[in-house]
Amino acid sequence: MANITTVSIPTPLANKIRELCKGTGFSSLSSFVVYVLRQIASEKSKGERGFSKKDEEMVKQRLRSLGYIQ
Amino acid sequence: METNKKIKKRKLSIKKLTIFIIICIISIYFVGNIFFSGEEKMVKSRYDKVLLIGIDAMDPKVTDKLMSEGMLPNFLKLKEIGSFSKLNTILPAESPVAWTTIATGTNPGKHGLFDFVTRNPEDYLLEVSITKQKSKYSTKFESPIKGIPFWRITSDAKIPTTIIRWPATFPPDKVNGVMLSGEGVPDIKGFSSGYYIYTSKEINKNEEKVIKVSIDNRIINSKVFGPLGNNKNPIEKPIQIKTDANKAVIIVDDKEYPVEVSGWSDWIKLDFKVGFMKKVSAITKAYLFSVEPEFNMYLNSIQIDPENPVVDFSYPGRYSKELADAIGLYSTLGMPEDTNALNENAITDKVFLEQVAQIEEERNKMFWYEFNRFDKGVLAFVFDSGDRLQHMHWDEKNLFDTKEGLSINKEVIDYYVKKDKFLGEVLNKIDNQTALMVFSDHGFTSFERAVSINTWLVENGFMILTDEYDGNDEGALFKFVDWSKTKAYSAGFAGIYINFKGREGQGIVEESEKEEIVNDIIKKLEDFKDPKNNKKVVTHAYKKEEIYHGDYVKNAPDIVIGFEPGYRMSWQSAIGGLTPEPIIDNLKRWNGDHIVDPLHVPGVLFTNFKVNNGNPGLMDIAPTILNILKIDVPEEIDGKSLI
Repeated sequence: MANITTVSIPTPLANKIRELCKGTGFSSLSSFVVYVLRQIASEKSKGERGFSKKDEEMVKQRLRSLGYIQ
Repeated sequence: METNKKIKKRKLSIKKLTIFIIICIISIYFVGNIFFSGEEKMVKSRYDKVLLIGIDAMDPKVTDKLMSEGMLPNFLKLKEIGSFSKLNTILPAESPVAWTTIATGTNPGKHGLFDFVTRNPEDYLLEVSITKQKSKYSTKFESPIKGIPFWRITSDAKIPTTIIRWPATFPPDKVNGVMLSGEGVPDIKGFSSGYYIYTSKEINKNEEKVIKVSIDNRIINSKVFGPLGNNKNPIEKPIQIKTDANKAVIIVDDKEYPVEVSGWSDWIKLDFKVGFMKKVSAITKAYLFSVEPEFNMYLNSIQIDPENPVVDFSYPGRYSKELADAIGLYSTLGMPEDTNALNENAITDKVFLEQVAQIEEERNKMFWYEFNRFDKGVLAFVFDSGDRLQHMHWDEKNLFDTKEGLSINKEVIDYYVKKDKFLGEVLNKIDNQTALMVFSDHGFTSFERAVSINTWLVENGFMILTDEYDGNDEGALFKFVDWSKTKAYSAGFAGIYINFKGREGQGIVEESEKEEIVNDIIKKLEDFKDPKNNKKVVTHAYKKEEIYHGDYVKNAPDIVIGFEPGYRMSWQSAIGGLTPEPIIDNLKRWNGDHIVDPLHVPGVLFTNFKVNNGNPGLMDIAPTILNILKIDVPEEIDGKSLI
């Protein structure tokens, strides 16, 4: 099992999230919070990689979607 | 006798007294006027409201011609009440630059917006300036304006301020009132536009915009495309279309949206699931071309839902919904008139014109909603469909070959006449405490020849290409540029940048050689002749320091090109691409433009008060607004008040 650490969040927020988790498949508040944080962390790391072909195509599409460019 | 004398004397005294009183009244009137120094203070004391009506691309040539033919009686009336003149525009004459210049009263060197397209000097990457992402991968946006627009000054002075659809205002500014962003608001993918065609006919290649559908027992099962997911592909959502001989019903989330052949659907609501308990709301409209023998349907850009915006495009955020509650759903995209679809023959003229009419109708409703509750301060409203309409319907063909000059298309005449009718209603409804200014950011001219400045830089030895370039690829984003040998490159619609050491990521030009290279390019550009007709291509090319001043001049292109009428930067060159020849014919439907030297495309200015300058410019509007509202004009404003 991976090492774990404890973080503090306000109790009213924790209660609210517990409510939101009901019936969603998340077995606990912790598993939900870990899931959300992993998503944010993976988004962040994507932002640090180089400029891919796909990114290049996106930039071109974005530019061409401006009426002036076609 | 004595009595008669007394009566006569008294009569004389009364007469003298009356004359004295009249002299006193006249003196007080004149002295008062001397003290209050004439026109300026009189105007100041008269108005407590400023109504600004922007009509993007309203052209003085067209306006003059139609006024002289009696087709714009209300504009003529406004001219007679107050003033009408050309309004000098800015370099480059592009809407975001020009409207920001109007808003700030400063030159672009102070407001920092220089083109639709800007480049990052570190990696030469290009982006759309009016939809500016906070960082390369961010889904958050930041304002492209670095100067101080007038609405921030009026808001700070606690003056009620309403700004509707002013270009380059996305994301919206915090004002003492409400703001609805205009040009620059993206679609749900973060793009400036993006239509889809659903068709049952065979398609040659897998085009992203064309979706092949098959009809099974009169039912089509297909999908719509929403915001981009983590893999940069759009998130999909199923739709079903039930077809009949001459109509169809689009079914999304169990809701039915009927549409007839040659007709439009109502707004279709789309909710895309984008993650755990998260959805993004969008709206779109469909036009049904045919059901039999082929199914053909156009779906316009998937736009942000004003009732539940994924990103705020109004201030306060809830205002976009308030407006939808008041007038119904409306186009939220910055430039919803689908010029791309018409350019690519995906829609017909009829469909495009109907779309423009629908958008204008929405804008009119927005205007009257705000006008009817406008009782103090500033109301600024920009109509910009006329710009897109003129891009697709300008009629100045054979500009080079004949002297026929301008003939005005019916579609363009209709637009100006509608705006005149609208102005008539405004003139009937405004009170005498309202100062009215109606103006445009630039005029129009033809776009017949497309100039690839990057190709010209290659021909003149300022740009060197890698061996990979075989002359056939139009390229983009400087794909074939050998930066280690390149001295200059062009990006956007008017700019040339020096590949400057220390500024550009792979810069090679030393400070000591920069000036000489700039001078050399300018000289060659001004001598540049079109091989087709030997005409001059560039009216003037400007060093940035000649035309701009302020903290942001450093971000401007080193050279800014003012083209001759008829010429415009090619779209390939604007995004860092190349064409086989430096100048090619523009064969697109997009046959009118305005990104030429500002001398050729001034805008218009109408006011309901007299102005002190017969030759006003964009920068004079903001100080005039502030002056009318009795606010001190900040020193950094470059323009001068017109009262």
